[in-house]
Amino acid sequence: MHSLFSVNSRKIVSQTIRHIAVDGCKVLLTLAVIEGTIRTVAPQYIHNIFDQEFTGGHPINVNEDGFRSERLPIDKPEGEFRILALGDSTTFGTGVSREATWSSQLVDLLREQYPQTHQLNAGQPTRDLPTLNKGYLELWSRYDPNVVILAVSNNMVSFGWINQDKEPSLPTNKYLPERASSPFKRLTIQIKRVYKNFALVSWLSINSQRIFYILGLNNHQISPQEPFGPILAFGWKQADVDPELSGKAWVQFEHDLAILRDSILEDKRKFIVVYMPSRFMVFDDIFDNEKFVPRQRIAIDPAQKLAEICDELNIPYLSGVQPLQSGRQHIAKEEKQYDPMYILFDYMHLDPAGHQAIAHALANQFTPLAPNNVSQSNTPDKSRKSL
Amino acid sequence: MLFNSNTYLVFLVIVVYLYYLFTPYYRRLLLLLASYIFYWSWSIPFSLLLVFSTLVDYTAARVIEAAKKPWIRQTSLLVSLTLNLGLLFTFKYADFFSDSAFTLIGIRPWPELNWVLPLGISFYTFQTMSYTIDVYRGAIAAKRSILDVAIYVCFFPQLIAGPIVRSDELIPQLEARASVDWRQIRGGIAQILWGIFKKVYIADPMAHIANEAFASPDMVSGVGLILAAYAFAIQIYCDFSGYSDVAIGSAKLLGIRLPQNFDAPYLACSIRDFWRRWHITLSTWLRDYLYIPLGGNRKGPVRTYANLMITMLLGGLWHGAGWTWVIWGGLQGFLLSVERAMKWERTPKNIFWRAVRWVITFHLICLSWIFFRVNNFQDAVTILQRVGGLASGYIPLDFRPIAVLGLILLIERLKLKQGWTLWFQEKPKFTKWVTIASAIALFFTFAGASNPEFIYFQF
Repeated sequence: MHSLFSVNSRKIVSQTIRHIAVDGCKVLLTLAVIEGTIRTVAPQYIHNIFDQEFTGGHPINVNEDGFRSERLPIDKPEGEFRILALGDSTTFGTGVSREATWSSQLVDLLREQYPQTHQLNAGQPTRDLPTLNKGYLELWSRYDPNVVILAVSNNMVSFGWINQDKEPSLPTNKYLPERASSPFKRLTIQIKRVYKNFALVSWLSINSQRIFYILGLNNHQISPQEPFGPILAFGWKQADVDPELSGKAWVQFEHDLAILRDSILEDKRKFIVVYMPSRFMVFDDIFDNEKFVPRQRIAIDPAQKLAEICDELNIPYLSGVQPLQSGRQHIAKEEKQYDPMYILFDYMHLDPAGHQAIAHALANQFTPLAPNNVSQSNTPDKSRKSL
Repeated sequence: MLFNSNTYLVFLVIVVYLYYLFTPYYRRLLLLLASYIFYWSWSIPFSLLLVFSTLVDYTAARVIEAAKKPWIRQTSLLVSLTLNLGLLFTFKYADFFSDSAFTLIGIRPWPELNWVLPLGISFYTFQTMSYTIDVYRGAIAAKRSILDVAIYVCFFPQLIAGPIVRSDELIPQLEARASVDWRQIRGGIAQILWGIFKKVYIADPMAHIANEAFASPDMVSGVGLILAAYAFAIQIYCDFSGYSDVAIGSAKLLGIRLPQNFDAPYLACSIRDFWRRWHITLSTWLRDYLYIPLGGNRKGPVRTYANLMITMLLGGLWHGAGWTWVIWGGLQGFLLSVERAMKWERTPKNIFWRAVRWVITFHLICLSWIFFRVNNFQDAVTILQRVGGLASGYIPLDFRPIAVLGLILLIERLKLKQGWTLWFQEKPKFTKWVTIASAIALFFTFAGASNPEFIYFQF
């Protein structure tokens, strides 16, 4: 009969236990020191928690009616002024608190003169125009908003194209509190949350992504079959993607926007379109293109394209490019600080100052004395201060 | 279970740890079980083919050794080769030949099978065949223990994509009473890290450039296509040699030495030199079991060229069931024959001529890679036309392949891999902490962007 364990196996096991104990303690201590250092030197990494209940470390708090804003009764009290904010994650406020979203900050600004101003933030990640139209017709128009503001991100062009043959479904509220079905699931959620709270995890994850982009391991190529992502809106040049695909996606977008406009104007409501630009198109610094988007592959300026579409459809339009540029300059000049205007390692989603810049620019679209009078010009009023 | 996955990392640690706890007999049982678990993680039904190959070659080798009459020995060998090649043909080539016959003569000799290609079948079939042939030749003795043959067929580090090992290289090591050799283990870890680095940080970024250009060559300029060919040359080398490094490194952790599979192939100054450095275990297999039995270079120049062509055509077909692979193999055979005829096989001593020969060799290899990589023959024609005419293109040029190629050549010229392995072997304390840090970093890498597939899996 062969013996199973070799003669020195007991020694190997005891040595292993001793090494794991000693080295494990050293590793844990090192990790703790690194965690503390990151929290002190680069606290922005602490706020990079994204999951079902947190976005950028902020509680999501989507109310039972599906809005990331205060809950309002369907019947509007007399004298109340309501703004309905439509959009995707850039309106929802991925990475920022509910109070920091542009729609919330816009209401705060308007309330200085019109205290009865309220907003409904119907933005949620990955929404396209047909879904927003369906949501507007079947759910949100009942709230009788005075003004509807649509924030267009580059992703919307892609989603509209990908989903063109699909029947839009009513937006679901993905952010209702998760009911953990078992103690194990609850424990898993807790562990996940603790894990995501470590700045070191966020630091490693973001910086490894940075390296991947530098090396070209991550890039911006899109699938020819499912051209998902913001890059399609830029007329992205890619060998295996039809050069006319982007143009077709914009035509589809214009068609969907016309339908949404008709739905809103039919209710005799004001409608404004605001463009949420990508960071690398707003600013020229190398740090503003940290995902190394090769600009030589870009054939379309989405801000210009959207301006032309809005002009064609006679919709008031505000580009976010100039407000964001002015916003950064203003912060640098007045507060002597650098603010990227976008959340950490993200070229789509604005930080609180970015949302503030958009809110100020939008506030300028409302004439000083009566919020019901919305400027009908297709470009922002540059004579007013942005911030 | 892929080498560049966290699952493999955990699997390997557990197997290695248990391996050194057990006595040699149970170590072999452990290796067999671990190898089957490794394969089962991809497919349980297809592991029956491994069992079948093991039984066939074990039995055939025993019969060959025991038989006194030549016809029994020959029949056993023939049965073994027929069954092994029959399996390979059925799964890999049946549809290719059926489709080709239909295209040429309009008749399909058998219906399309559309079967999934069992992972690693080309590798373990060649390996098992070499065992039976070696026993027949009397070069080795048939193994009494079926356990040894079974491990030889399915040894997990090299099961899926080589190196192709000979039985006399592997089986004696299984029988040895290896104790923990920390130096070798550190060498293994160094080689695994080197391989993963090549795969994740060099091959995968280059894959993006090559994939885009080869997907729609008519949209890419002539210069862009040359850069894409460089990118693919780098990708396939770093992908495959990276895999081999992980395989050899993993085996080293178990105290088993596998043969070297690559030796700075892009420093070659002739095609013959290239094949001495590229996929060494395949080229030596083809030499020993095909080229030399065909007569090698012993029957005059014409037969030599014919033998080279046959060997390389079959080598091309081994890589894949498609005409582009046949052309790739044919091109290699043609280049080897021309080189032999013109007596260009030897590396020139003069540095200038050596540089010229290196440039020519490298570009001929890149030219052949175009046939290896294209989706169809028409694409290859398009690429050559656009390169020849220096056509303009729609996509901006990406010059990174040139920089990466320069880096690879420099690293290989300075033999940095050997230096790294030696350094790692000699510094136990550094090794421990570099390993822990790498494990943490790789954990994030694996969870991130790396392409899970290795190119040679498809063969």
